[in-house]
Amino acid sequence: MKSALLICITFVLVSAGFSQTNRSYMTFPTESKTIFGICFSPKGNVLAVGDDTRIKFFSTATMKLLGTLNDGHDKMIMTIDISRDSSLLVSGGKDSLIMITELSSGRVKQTLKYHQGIITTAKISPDSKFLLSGGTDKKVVLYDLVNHQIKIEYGGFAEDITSVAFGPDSDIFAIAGGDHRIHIYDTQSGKLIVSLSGHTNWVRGIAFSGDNEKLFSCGDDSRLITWNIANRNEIKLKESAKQGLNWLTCLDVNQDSKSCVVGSINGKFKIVTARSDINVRLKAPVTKILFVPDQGFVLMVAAATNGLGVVLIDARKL
Amino acid sequence: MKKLFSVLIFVLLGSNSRAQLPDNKLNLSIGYSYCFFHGSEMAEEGTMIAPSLFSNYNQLMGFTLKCFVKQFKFLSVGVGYSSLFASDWEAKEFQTFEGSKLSINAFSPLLQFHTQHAKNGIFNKLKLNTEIGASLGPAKARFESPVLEIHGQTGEIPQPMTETGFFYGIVAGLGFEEVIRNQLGIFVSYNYHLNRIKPRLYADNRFSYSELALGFKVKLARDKHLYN
Repeated sequence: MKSALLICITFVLVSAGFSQTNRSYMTFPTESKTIFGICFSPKGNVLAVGDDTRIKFFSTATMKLLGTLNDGHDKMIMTIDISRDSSLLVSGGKDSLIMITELSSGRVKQTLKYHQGIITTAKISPDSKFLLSGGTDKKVVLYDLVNHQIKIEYGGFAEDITSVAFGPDSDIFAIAGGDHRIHIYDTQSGKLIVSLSGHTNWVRGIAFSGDNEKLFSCGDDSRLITWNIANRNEIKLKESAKQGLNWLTCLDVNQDSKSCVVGSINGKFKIVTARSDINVRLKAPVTKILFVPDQGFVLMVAAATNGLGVVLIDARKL
Repeated sequence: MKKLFSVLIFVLLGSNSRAQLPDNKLNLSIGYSYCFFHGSEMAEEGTMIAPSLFSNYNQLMGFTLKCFVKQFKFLSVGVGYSSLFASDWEAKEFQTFEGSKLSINAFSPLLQFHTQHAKNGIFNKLKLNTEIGASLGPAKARFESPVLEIHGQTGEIPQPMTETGFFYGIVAGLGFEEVIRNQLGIFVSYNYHLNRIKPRLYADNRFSYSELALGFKVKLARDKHLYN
């Protein structure tokens, strides 16, 4: 009886302790609690969320719903991106479709059907000229948004494509996936510059720093790797650090090019800054994580999760 | 035992539930087994009544090894192997098998029905399962003194001091797994074994035992496709 009472008291205390940590989070009111695709408008005042088959736009300041876009997906939206000039929104989903929507009118400009599997990642180049997408069909397509045609199709990857990223000048792009490597290509020629080996398991997240000097990557080997890309002819591993024992599913680099945030499958995410690291724990796997743009030294992070929807975390309150 | 149980309950209730959604394709579990035989002190074979070999052992323990491949969301198929060792044979009015030792090696093809990891809450880390399967293998008894008295016309005949009988039967049980890491968990299981055997040197033609197992479960291969 005594031990049972002790267990109950301990449980209540432990539960109370955990609930306290949740106060620094705010959750966006999405219908689905499983979110894979989120993206900020270039100024960071609007967050677009792929909420099941629709895209919802929320105010970052008030967290209120600004509008909903139904761009025609009939299965869950997995990835979304907004062009740097805020003219286009691209979304890819489990229905293998990529929709390109004109943001000013909300009209779907194009429906692209060249993938056969789930589209896991899609990015518009910073100069808004190209769209890069990849998925479970182990294929990556570079689409020319100006001439409306496929520029190059890369097939034959050994495993799923999990992440793609453009360099800040749009001159290069990187592809990562289940083959444990990161492949860097020249955007204009479409030629492979280098394949980077450093991860020992699936690579899940890649992001270039804004200063064009670093590429960050993370994956199932729990490693966060920084690659030195300042010299394009000699891209090499700069730093590799193990971040726990779980799969690292996503990452983002802050605009200062010094801080990055990395999310993991067990709900933990870590903001790595020059001064110190901030660890946060959520009760659901982090599927996508982004710094809120244009926040200066104030670090705010939006995390899409598989179970909690989308949460906004103000690092000052942690 | 009470303390162990209390600690287990504490781990279950007190640990904060975290994401464990990427499920495993291939599980390997290894654990310590504490068992006890069921049945009466005496065994009957036709008209003969003799002390039972199996049910009079006071100690039965060993280890268990299981490997499961997840086939469907709620179903895994696998094989199990238990190596058990029995000692301390004791019957009220008999000394027939005193000092004897028994080793049981049981191989089991198994079907396991299990829950899935929930997105959050207690079932995010906790998985319940129930399993059923066949069981077969050798049971080797080593006797301290001769069981039979055999006299030949030409003098003494060497006395058989060991007996290996092959058994077959069924096994059914239930258990749970608590995830510690995505790759590692602890498990507790209870299995009931019911077997038939045809020995020459003892009267048992069936034996049954309960097996309580506690150990680690290692996920060797997990589903990488988080977006499925």
